[in-house]
Amino acid sequence: MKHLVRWLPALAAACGLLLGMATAEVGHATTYTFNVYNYPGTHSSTATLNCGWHVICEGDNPYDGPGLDWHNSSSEGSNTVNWRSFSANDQSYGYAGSVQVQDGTSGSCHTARAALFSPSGAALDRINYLHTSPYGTGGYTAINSGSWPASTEFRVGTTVDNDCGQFAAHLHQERDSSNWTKNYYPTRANCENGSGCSGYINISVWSNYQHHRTRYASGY
Amino acid sequence: MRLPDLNHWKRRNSRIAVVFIAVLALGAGGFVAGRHLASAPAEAGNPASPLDLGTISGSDATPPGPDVTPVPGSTPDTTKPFWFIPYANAERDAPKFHGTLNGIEFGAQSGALPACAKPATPDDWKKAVAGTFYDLKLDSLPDGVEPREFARVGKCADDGRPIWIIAEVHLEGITGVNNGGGSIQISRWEAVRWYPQEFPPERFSTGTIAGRPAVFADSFLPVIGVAAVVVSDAENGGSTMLLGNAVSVDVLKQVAEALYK
Repeated sequence: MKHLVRWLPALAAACGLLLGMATAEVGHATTYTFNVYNYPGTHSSTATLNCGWHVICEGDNPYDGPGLDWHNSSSEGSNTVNWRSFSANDQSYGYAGSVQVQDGTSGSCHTARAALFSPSGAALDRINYLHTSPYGTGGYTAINSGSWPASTEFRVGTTVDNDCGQFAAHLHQERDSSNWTKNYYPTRANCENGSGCSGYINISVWSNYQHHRTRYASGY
Repeated sequence: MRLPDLNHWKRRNSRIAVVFIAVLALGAGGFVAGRHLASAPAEAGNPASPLDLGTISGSDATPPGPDVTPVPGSTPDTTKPFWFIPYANAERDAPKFHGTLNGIEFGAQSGALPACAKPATPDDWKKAVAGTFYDLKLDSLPDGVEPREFARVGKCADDGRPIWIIAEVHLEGITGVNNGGGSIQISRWEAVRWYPQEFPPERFSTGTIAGRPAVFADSFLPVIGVAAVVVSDAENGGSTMLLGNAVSVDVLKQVAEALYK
């Protein structure tokens, strides 16, 4: 009994400490998960696939790869290229980050690069729009997010005909890092085997995204 | 019969009460300390320097608009969400250099291209560049640089010679690279010594890479935005450009040197 009395103060303090930690509110900073879904940047909200996942859609070049080709020609009335995304997160934050349009043009090959940055300034890789003359370079555009998917759309460029002196007008859109995962679209090999590369897809439908990335971190 | 000692009971009860209150106070103190410990901010960025970008990935803070620029002379506060955007806005609005440095023209929309009537794509890009000046030796780049498994190559169908190559490499976990990673687009062109990329004049400097004339363009903030290194090549009368995203110009110089070894 005497031992119990001697240890009682320490026991009480320890119990209080544990109880306090167990019931603490952790609202100031917490683990945070966000998802960004990137969609085909064609001028129209319907898009037609030209070539499945590939690097260059010719010759013996790889029959799988980081990008897809989409119809996007001024003969269809417009040839603008757009960033399109839906983003959702588990903290109901209003923004997932921001995108800077960069000019990746060299020689006669035009490229608009959309570089995603977190609110802290951490680089989260890029989506590249090839055969595209960039528009609005340098500035940052906020990527809307929320507990339900929030959309963002803005122009990043214009499709260039005869790009690199050889490519007919189309949009080649690709990831620059495997941190972006690829969606269900067929590979170039599957397309050339006749496994369905034709027909329109509605890019207003969430499940028709092209690339997706997730990031886990702390946030406010 | 002996009556109980009432004073003894009083003394004992008051001692118990004091102990009870002390125990309660210790418990309450522990409770408060526990809540404080558990609710302390978890890895809120802790920027030790302007380069330490932290890990804040989401925010309810509204990003600064396109017209917001930093207070002149202010130091970036990297603890604030979207702290870099005013600096990017100022950079975007700053007057740009259009002209030629070390034989390379910047801010140009057109210029000399490879002399070729029929530009084309080789069937196998690795075979097309093997043993030529366009074989960039992407496997011998400095540690921390991860080459992608492919590049794009253009050839001239007139004679089959390669006339350009564009490749991408990813970088992570090295000094001078954003803590989210970075990337470099490497392009080498025959006859091309002009680029549309624009930077304010104060971002430019000149020097050499592997003994060749070169131009360096630094980004507006270390490891945020775009930096570039362009090297003038005698072999094809053209140039090699390294265009970095979230990579410092010093890292670009190291990678450029490795391309010529």
